[in-house]
Amino acid sequence: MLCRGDSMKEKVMMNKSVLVLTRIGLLSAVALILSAVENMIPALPFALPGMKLGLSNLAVMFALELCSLPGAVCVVAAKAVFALLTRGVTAFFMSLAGGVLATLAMWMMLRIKKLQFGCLGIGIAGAFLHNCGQLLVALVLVSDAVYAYFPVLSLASVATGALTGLVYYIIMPHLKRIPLLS
Amino acid sequence: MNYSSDNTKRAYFRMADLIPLAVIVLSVVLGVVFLLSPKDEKGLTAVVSVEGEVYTEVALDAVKEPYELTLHGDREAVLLISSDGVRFVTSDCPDKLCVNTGMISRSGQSAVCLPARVSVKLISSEESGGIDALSG
Ligand SMILES: [Zn+2]
Repeated sequence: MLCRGDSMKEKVMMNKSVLVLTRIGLLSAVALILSAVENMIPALPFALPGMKLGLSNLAVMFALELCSLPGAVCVVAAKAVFALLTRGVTAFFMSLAGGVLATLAMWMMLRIKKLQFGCLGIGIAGAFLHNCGQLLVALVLVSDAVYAYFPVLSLASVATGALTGLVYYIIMPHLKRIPLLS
Repeated sequence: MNYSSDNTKRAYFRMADLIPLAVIVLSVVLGVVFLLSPKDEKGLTAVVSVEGEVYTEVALDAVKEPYELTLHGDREAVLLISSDGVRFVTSDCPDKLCVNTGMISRSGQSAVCLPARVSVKLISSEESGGIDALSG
């Protein structure tokens, strides 16, 4: 790095930030598609109205691996804005709180070297905290009656997390082979 | 900033994954125990909340004839309150999940309309405390 000329350095840095932006954009698009798919899935009879299972967590997991924590937070923000536009203010705060909690948890789990977590563990922790964040916002904005949904939603998050973890496990190695992403 | 340099594939399952799994299972058990513990069905009180604030409390034992309660949250929702329980009759929400929840009739159950920010939960009348508990 030190022996390179200033203009060269600038160019490399420019390219790098453009690359990171491109990745964030791409992964945000993936997150929005997953959110839209989730919106189309008919709600389970026991599910709390407005709750999302967190399939779009998958895009956040990719973002954590491919563009670091700030990049993942950008994807979460894009998801929250999408929720605001399609489902309103309450959904915005639920999406944001769930997304931020899940992102922080998965970020820590990806980084801890002492304890090697598998994709399964990271997936279910992300899905669980996604639910917890949403429930906390619903407790404040709607009513404390929503706590009744906590057990069933937590169990559901194990299933969603196992699924997102599995998809991540299968797809991630292939993503790393794409020149734009690696 | 680029973590993709290590090409080692992360395993699907590792023993450490049991930690988040155990945390979730434990919190589910605690949640269920908490929800089921006050099982005194001496009488139910419906707590109706609008936009995050308790709007009214109705002791169901005292309800002779079923009646409708119109609530003006972010959207308009109508509850039917009877001695057997409470249900959403209509709501201006797009998803109608509240109406599909059907009648709630046991302590701890709740029905929520998130778009309208209207919710109703049933608690045993002793929980609501005060005069209600004494007179019931
Ligand atoms: Zn509704």
